[in-house]
Amino acid sequence: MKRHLRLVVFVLLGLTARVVSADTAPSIYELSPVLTDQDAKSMSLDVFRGYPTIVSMVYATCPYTCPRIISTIQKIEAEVPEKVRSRVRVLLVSLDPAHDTPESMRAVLLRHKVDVTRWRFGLASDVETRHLAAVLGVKYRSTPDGDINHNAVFTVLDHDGRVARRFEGLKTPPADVARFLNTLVNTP
Amino acid sequence: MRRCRLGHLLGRAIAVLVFIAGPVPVVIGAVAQRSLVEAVAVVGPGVLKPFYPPSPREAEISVPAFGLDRLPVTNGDFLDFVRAHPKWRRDRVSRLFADVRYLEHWSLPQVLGADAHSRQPVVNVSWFAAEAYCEAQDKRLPTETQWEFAAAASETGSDGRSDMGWRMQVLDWYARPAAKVLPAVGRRRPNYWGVHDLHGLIWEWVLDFNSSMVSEDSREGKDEDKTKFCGAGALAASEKDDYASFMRIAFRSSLEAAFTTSTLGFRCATDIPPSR
Repeated sequence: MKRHLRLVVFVLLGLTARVVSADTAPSIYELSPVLTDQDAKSMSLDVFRGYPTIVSMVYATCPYTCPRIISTIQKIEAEVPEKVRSRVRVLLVSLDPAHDTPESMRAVLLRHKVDVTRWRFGLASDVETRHLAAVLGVKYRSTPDGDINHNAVFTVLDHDGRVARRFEGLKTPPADVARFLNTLVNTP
Repeated sequence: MRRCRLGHLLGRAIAVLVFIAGPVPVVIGAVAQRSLVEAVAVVGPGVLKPFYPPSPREAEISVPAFGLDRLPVTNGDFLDFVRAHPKWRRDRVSRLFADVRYLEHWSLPQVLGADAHSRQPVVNVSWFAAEAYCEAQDKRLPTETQWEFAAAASETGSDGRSDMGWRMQVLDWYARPAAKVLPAVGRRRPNYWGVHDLHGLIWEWVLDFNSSMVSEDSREGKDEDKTKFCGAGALAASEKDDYASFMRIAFRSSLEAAFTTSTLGFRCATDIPPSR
C-alpha cells in the first residue's frame, strides 16, 4: 500500500513539474545581442533585469508611425503613478542600424523629451536586429526610397525579460496598458 | 642486423604505399568538393515581378545571381547538424527559438526512427533553427525575393508564369492535401535552374518572412487599420489569378519565428555562387 502511495505521489509531482515548466515563458535576454546605446556605450539586455520594460523598434528618420509609438508610450507612462513609473524602463531598438547613429538616436529622445534615465535607444547588428524583430513580432521591410515599412507594435517584458504581453497597433487605451504595468511592477 | 633489414623493408613498403595511396585523399577531397558544389545551383541573374509589389517602384526587382540548394534540407542533414550542435536538440532548445512541436516526428532527440526517413525533407523546424543550420554551413536562408525568383521558373524557362500548363500544375499541387507520408526529396524533375521541389513538397522558410506586408485580413476590402503600418498601405496583387503566390505570402505572414509545422521546412542560399 505504501509503495503505491509513493508511486502516486511521484507521478503527481512529475505531472506538476511539467505543468510548471510549461508556464514559464523564455526570456528574450537569451538572445543576448550586443547593443550600442544613445551614448555610444555598449549595452546588454541584462541591464533591464529587475524592471518591467516596454520594448519597441523604431528608426531615427521615420516620418509617421515611430513618433506615434513614442508618444503612445509616453502617454502610458503619464498614466502610472510616479512610484510605479520609476520601476519601468523603455527600450527602443533601431530598425535601421545601417543609418542610425548614437547621435541621431539621442536627438530623437531629446525631441520627444523622454526621461533618459529610464529610456534607452539601442543599435544592434543586422542579424541581431532581425532576431529581435522576430521575437518581438515586428515586421519590417526597406523600400528603395530609404524608408522602412513596419508595423506599430510594442511589447511589455516582465522583470526577467519574458514577454508579458504584446500590443499590436496603437489602439489600446493608455490607461489599460498602465493598469497592466502596475500589476507587473507589483508582482514579485 | 636482421631487425635493421626488416626495418628497411618496412620503410620501403610504407614509402611505396604512400606513393600509391597519396593521391587518394586528394581525389576523395576533390570529389567531395565537387558534390558540395553540385548540391548548390546557380540561380539568376534576372528580374522578379513580385506578386505583391511592396511599392510602385518595386514592380520589378533585379535579382543578382546567387547560390541556392538544389534540394530541401533533409532529416538526415538536420540530424547531422543537431549531433554537432546539441543546443538544437529538441530536449535542450530554448522555447524562445523553437516551439513544443520542434522535431516531434523524430523518435528521439538524436534518432530519426521509423517515422522519419533520412531522405525526407526535414519539417517541424523553426526559423531560428533553420537559420542556425544554414549559418553552420556558412550560408543563410534565401530572401523571399530570391526564393520567389527561383520558384517562378518552369522546367524550360526562368519565368514559367506565362506558361499556363505549368501554372495549372503548380496550382494542382497546392490544391492537394499534404501527403500522409512526405516523399523523399529530389524525386521530381528540376526546374530551369536545376532546383528541385520548390513546389508540391513543403512550404519553406525565407530569411525575411516577417517582411510580407499584408494586413490582418485583406479579403474584407474595408479600410486597413492604418495605425498598424507605416508606409505604403494599399497593396495590389500584380497577377490576380496567381493563387499559389497568394497562398505562400499569406502563409508566411502568419508565421512567427519560433513556429514549427509539419509541412514547413527550408533550404539554404549563398550570396557567392559557385563557379559554373
